Amino acid sequence: MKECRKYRDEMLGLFADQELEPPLHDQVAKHLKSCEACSSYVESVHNFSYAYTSFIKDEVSSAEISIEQSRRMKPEIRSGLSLSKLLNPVFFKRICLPVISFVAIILVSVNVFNFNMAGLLDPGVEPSAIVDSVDGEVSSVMIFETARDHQTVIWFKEVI
Amino acid sequence: MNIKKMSYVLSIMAIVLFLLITENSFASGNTDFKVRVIHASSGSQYMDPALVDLTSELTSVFKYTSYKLLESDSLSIGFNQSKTSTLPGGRVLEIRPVEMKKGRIKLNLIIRKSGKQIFKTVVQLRNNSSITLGGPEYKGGYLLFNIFGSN
Repeated sequence: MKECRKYRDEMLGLFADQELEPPLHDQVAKHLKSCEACSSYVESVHNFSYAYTSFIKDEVSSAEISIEQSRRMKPEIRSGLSLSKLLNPVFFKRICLPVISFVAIILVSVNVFNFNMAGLLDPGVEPSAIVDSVDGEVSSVMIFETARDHQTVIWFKEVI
Repeated sequence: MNIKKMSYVLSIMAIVLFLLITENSFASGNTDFKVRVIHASSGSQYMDPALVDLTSELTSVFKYTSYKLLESDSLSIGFNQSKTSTLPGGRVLEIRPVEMKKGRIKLNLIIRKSGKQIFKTVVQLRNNSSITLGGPEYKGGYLLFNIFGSN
């Protein structure tokens, strides 16, 4: 701790960093000419600042470069937001996955649970029976469907 | 993709695969059939009360004025199994459900007389609906066989 108490350490530190207003700066400079303790303190602050800045100078430069690069990359990043949004895990999990799963379940149910979509929409549209084949000792066969309920009727005449 | 999400997707896939593999198992083992033997003739006008559900359909296609229920038989048959129902005139109706697919029961219907196959048809009967076969001559009229299937 320095012996002179005219100026606080913080004031001298600001003087060393050239951050004092001109009138005050001149006052401190004038004091330093006659005060060995404060001069020594200011000199020690200078030495520390030099060592500090010489150490971090490269690091600060690197940071400045990376900031500049990110500024230049921002337009490219912005242009990819629409695609990146779709691929966003949260969006995919909360929206796409449930929708895809729901559609898949519906499609499978229609097929697996023997759902007849045409019958569901209008059960009366399809005939009650679809005839795949007819055979036998018959002389004639007629297949027709009733008008109202679409009942299938197979009329055959036996061979006598 | 984290484990939780992966497990969710795999669960969905497992359900889908299970449904696809066990497709036919979702159809009940036995199909219930109701066979009604109807005598249609041009005699005095008569509609059997037991045929009220078929009245409009029968009269819309046939010119007959009398419809009488002769026999009614209920059968419960498993897939790829067959049962018979006795018909008038020495005839026998054999019903054999094959499979259920897309809401329709595929079945073989065979009419035999004196042990000889007279008529055979393979149809896809819509579940809970009926088909009518006819018409051998019988006692001044004709026989109609209404077969209702339900799985």
